[in-house]
Amino acid sequence: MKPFLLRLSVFLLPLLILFFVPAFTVIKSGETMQPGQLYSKQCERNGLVGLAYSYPVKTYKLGGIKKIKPAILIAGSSRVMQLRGDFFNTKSVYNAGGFVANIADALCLLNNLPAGYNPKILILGLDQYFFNAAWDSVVMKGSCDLEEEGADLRSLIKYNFTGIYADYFKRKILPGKLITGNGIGLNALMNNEGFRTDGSYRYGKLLSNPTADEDYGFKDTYKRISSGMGRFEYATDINMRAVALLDNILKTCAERNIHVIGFLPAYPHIIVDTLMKLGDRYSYMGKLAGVLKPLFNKYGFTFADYTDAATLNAGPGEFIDGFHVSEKAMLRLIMDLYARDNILQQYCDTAKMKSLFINAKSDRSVMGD
Amino acid sequence: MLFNSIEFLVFLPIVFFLYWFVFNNNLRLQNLLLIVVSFIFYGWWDWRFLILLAFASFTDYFVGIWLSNAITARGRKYIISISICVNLSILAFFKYFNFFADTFVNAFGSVGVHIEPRTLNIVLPVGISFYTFQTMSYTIDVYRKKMPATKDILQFFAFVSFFPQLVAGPIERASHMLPQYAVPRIFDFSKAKDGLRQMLGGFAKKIIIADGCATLVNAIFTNYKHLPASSLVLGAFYFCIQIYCDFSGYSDIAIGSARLFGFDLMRNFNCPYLSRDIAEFWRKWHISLSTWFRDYLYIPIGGSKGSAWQKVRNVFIIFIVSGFWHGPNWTFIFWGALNAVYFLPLLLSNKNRGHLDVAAHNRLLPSFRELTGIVFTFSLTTFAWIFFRSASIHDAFLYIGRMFSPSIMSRSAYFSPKYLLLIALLFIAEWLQRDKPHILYFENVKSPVIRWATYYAIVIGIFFLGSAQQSFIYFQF
Repeated sequence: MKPFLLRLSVFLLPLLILFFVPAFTVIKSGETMQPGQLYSKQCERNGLVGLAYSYPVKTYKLGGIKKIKPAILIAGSSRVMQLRGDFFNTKSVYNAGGFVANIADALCLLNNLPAGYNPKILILGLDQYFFNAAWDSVVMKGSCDLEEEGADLRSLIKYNFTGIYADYFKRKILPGKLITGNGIGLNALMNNEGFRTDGSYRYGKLLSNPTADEDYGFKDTYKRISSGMGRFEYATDINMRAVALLDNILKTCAERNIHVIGFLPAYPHIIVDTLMKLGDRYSYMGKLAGVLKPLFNKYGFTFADYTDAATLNAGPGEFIDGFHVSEKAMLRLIMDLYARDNILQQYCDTAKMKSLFINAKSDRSVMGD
Repeated sequence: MLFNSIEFLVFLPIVFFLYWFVFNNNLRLQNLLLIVVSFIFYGWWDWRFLILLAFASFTDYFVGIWLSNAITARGRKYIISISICVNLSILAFFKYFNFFADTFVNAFGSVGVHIEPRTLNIVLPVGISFYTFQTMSYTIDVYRKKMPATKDILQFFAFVSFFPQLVAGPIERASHMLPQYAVPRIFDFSKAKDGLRQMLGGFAKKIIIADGCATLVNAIFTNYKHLPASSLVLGAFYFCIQIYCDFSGYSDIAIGSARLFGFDLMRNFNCPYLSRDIAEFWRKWHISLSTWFRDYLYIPIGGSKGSAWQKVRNVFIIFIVSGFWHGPNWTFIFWGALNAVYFLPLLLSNKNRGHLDVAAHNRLLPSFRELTGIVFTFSLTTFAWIFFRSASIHDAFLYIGRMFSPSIMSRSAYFSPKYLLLIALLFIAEWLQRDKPHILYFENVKSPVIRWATYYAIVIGIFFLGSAQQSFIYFQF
């Protein structure tokens, strides 16, 4: 028996060593954690959730909603993720930014709220391209299937085996941070980047080193505009099917006593200027407010168009990239919405918001954390 | 519990440790351990299946004892009929009830009598056809006085439920296996080492090749109406490889696992795709089932003796029953009948035992005659597998009809150089090892560097080339 076990051990040892490093890395970092468990584990650890190898955002955000059942629910794409719970005068806020990648996802979110729960206010970011006739957001791009699975151990190691070793050599993965960090996911642990417990997103690398971003100076955004791709598809017409679906969503909210505040998120003024100079290639954008505002008015809801960041007095420095405003610009936005919506006023404190704004740590970060 | 699962990867070492280190000195405790872990292994699918397994085991255990006590021939016949009725009833109910009900309704419907179909929502217990046949072989052998009945219930339960071969065979004979449960087990280094090798080869066949082909096969057979003939030809070829690697891979893992515990299971596959005629193929494919049918059905009804008509009848009976054993579907029956048609010319011309040796014995390469025989047999087999894989006979004929169309020359989207290369490697390995017990039988390879490099390459290949976990095809039978 001994020779058998000895030979078997000698055979297995190099394999164990070889696979141990990537296996330990993805397990310890939480990359293999089931999406349904992410939020509760995050609350236990009080850290960020920033997975590097998978993005089960719908299941994760629903976990947050189920746990908090917030009075104020923020929904939209990644362009609302900068809206922080601390901007409000209540703890009952959750940012489900990232869940809604197209207009149909908003309905998916509503249909999957916990039974018997409705938020008091739904702040809904309506990305302009949701209504782009050349980008059909009615047919769901992603899936409303909420059984998103996290990455399994074998696949993670299989597809990232050499990458993980390379990251160790490039010092992108540091064993100290891996072992002692309280975040979940390699992005959270190594870059301090990911979702906070209030659902808002902390940009790690971009805050510490903005020039490293591929969209620094909006280079990538200009490239997308010139090629008419990557959510900058050319269109003169509004997708009226998407508008009809939005109407359906608003009607559902009205029936469920959910007050909706909708807005068109901001682009840097310089980008909007570029779009305008292209004639009617993006003329659908200019027509949007005129079509959407009456819909919101019909149900007594609030709507605001912040497409041009100049309306918020937010300069290009208050943008993370060509798509995403910074926390400071988002604070401007929420202060503006506060002035427009009297139901929202019950959950906000002007003095607190002004204080946060005046004491903002930088153009990008309000609280510096 | 699937062999190709993390659970089994944990389960096997634990059982191995308990077996050789905790219960090493007590044969009865070792047998009891095997029963307990086998029930855990089987109950992993559904604990309710255990009731059936226990019932079948108890019945045949007591039938064996009654047979040994019975004096008159009439009494013995009566007792053996209990075993056969119970086992076949279990099979008929759990596996064939809905098939017979549907066939009955359709038959009456075809003559204008409409009967309300009454089918049951029956869960098919995994591996039911395997263990019922195994226990039946015991009672029939006791009835025929080929072996004494066992009085040791632990040995008998361990024989029926032994986890490596419980769900998909090899279907063992009691005369071969029961004596192994009665003797003290001594750890055999070379046997265990070779068992691990055989398991490794089985895992490679299943995880790298069979599961990879499964994805292609499923896509092709699901969408065959919209695909060019070239894709359909590839689909048939991939399935031919998939079913072999899936089932022989399972058998290799089963035999290898059993060897870790000191047991020798019978060989179930012997490079069947290197057969030079269909008779040789059937001596090398699913050997445990073929020999079961030969010993308990074919020979009792006359075998190859008698008139030409009797020979034809017997061949059709055994092949059709063998097809039907796979499942309640006309596709399996047709597949069996087609193989009978392939086999008959050889039998009637007395050429069915023409290739009892290995191909190209003592030579590296086959002769032209051998090669053409191998290619022809492989083609016939591949063609027959289309019926086996199709959802219905109608689908199979449509598939074949579309296969022979001008689009056979078009380039297929399912042409996968990766899998074709892996399949080529498999064939080369099988050819080189065709006179060995399994493809990783390395007793004659002296260089440890070559051996270990091969093992490492396979382990890493399993990890990086393996597809998503899939069940074994034969579990459904």
